[in-house]
Amino acid sequence: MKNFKQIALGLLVGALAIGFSAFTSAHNNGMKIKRNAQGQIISVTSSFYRLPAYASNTSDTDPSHYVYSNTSRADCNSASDICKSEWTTTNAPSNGQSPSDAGSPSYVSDDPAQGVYNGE
Amino acid sequence: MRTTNFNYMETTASSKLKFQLSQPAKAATAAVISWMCMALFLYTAYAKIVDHQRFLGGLQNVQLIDGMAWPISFLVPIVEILIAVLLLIPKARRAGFYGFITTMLLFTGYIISVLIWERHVPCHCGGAVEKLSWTQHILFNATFILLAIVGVRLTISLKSKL
Repeated sequence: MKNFKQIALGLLVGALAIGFSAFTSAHNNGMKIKRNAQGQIISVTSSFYRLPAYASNTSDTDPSHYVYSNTSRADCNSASDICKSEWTTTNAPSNGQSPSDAGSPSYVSDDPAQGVYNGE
Repeated sequence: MRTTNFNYMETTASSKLKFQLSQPAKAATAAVISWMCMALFLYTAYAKIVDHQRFLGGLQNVQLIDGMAWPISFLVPIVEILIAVLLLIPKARRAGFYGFITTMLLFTGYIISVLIWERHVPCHCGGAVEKLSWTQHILFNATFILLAIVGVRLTISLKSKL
């Protein structure tokens, strides 16, 4: 009975750990798309990686310093620099595009993820 | 004189007793430590499974293990889950602690070797754990290794009293 109670409590702790993991792992790779009443895209907000040549720990609002990538290998290598920033554009970006390529870029904010883009 | 000796013995005995945990307290502490270790492994294993492509991509970026990245990306979460199951079962807890310590030592060794030999140091440890800096990461691992060692000692001491 004592073992049964311990296993039951352990299962509860395990379930909480998995629930918490699901909560913290849910990162939004998707774009935030705004549409008008007709369903046409008004704006797209997505994360762009800052090019390693411009890596620093201060904000950078030059759209030519950023590139979009949603490949599985794209990542931020360990560093204390700002790795990504959110930009609003008129079109959905595709891999390798800068915010300017996706149309009328507007800087939104820096992403909390720190590091330097690995170029993938 | 005899009274003085008696008092001295009593003081020594009581000072030793201060550091002794009762059997239920030992059992409870061992259980709590095992749940903490289990929760850590389930937390990180889940993150690795849910975002497997990212975990695999991160391992492929490390030249030291590039050729083995694919099997390692499956092996690590499976081992973590198996150890978590061992830690959950009271009778298998000690084996779980040994597995946990071994795995954590391997992870810490991996972090240190990557820091020494790799130009880039990606970590796809899963969830919030990968937000830690490298020093914090090593301290975090060391804390859990020490906790697991305490867990092993408690389970040994509980077993020997039975």
